[in-house]
Amino acid sequence: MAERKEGFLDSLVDFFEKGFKALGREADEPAGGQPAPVTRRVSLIIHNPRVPSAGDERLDKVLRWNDTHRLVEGYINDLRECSGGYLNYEIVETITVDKFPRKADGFTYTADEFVKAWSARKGFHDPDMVDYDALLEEFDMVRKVDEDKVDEFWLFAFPYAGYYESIMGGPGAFWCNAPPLTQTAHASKRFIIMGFNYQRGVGEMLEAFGHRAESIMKHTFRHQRGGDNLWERFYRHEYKNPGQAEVGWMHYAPNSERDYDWGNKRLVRSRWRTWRNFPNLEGEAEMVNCRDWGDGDIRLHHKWWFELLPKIEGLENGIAYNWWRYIVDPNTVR
Amino acid sequence: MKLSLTHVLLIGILLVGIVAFFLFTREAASPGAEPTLGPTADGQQPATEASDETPCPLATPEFFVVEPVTSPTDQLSQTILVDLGNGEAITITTESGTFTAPFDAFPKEIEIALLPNTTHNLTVEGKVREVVQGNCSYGGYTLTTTRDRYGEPLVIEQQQP
Repeated sequence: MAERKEGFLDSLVDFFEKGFKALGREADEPAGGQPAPVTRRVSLIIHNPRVPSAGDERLDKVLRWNDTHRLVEGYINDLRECSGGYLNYEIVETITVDKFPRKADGFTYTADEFVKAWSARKGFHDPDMVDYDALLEEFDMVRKVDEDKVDEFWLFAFPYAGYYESIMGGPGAFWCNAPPLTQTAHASKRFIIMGFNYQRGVGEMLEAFGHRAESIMKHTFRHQRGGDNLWERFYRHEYKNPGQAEVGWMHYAPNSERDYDWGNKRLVRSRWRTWRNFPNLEGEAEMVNCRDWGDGDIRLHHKWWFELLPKIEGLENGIAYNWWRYIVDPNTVR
Repeated sequence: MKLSLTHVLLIGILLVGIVAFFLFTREAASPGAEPTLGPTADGQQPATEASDETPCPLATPEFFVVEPVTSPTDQLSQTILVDLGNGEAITITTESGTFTAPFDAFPKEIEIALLPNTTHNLTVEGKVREVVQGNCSYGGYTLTTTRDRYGEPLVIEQQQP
């Protein structure tokens, strides 16, 4: 939490700070109804090579991993539900790639090498990072954005593919749980590339989206101080802010004592229910535990968390009451 | 040219304004007021844009699955199958004791003893190995579950014939 400045000069700084921020800011709007639904167009790119030593079956079948299309369906439905019908993803193209993506150092697995490494759980290539320049070029991402055909890209692959869970490109791109793709600053607008793993479930996909949300909301509220920074209030939890728990963040439910501790039965005081009445956050804290957010289930916890993100019309201090607007479209972040 | 009192006041206000502006912009450009740390930083807030240190991307937990158990059973032991991404050790705690084994096979088979005519409620813990990637460390945490891969409770009823 930022320290408040004290003294005459500091008061002057605060005065001018507020004055500068007020310039060019949209006028406050009262809380209203549900925002109009939006549709975001997705290019789905699945790296799922055939494995010669397994009769040319696709990698996901050979290793009995999840069906990508079912994961996508679950993820889209969960986000639509949690956003109150606001967010509607539409897959506008699906590209299945019969090879492994190139790593940043030029290395590319063969299918048999990868299956062998997976069976032994060792021998994976290091460094792991994928070559984003190659992906941008191969899938013509900037052109698709510039021609307004695609809003975001979803990469699907196997474990150790080297993808960031989310990364942002375009002009003024900022940290989105990964450093921005500065080489795409010439694009006409910002876009996000998600990185998913078909070995895992919808819960892990939601977590990737959650970290994207955390990065974007922190950036959105970066100029707000103290009580004006509602994002800092939203993610408070007992471990970091004893006695002041609200909703928490992806890794920490209100009562978590370590990362991913969504099944903790310890009772703590939290005001998470007040977020259902946003922007009216009045209300007493209640004793809560994991029963409120799915008893340790990753998908249920994350759905609970997303449902509490504000999603109504209105504006205060230049920031919309509909936080989904920023998370869904980073071009709306100023 | 002689300056009036009004001129002096206006210049003074302007100078103070300029100083204040630079002080403000310096603070606004320093999000490091809140340190940004990686996923192993206990309770830390989500990382955000780069400050002096490059933040670490936050990661999803490693996969951790326990296969369904056999229940009821008349046996006095049962082998539990556990799989864990980047695993280091597995611990199973139940009414008959605590059973710990290194995670050295995929999946790991762990035999646990069962008490006669007893309901066993299993809690399975998986310790994830810590790894360092550049300036970021991952893993080093423990995942816990009381359910199998299908969401069913890990409960074994031992019934003597």
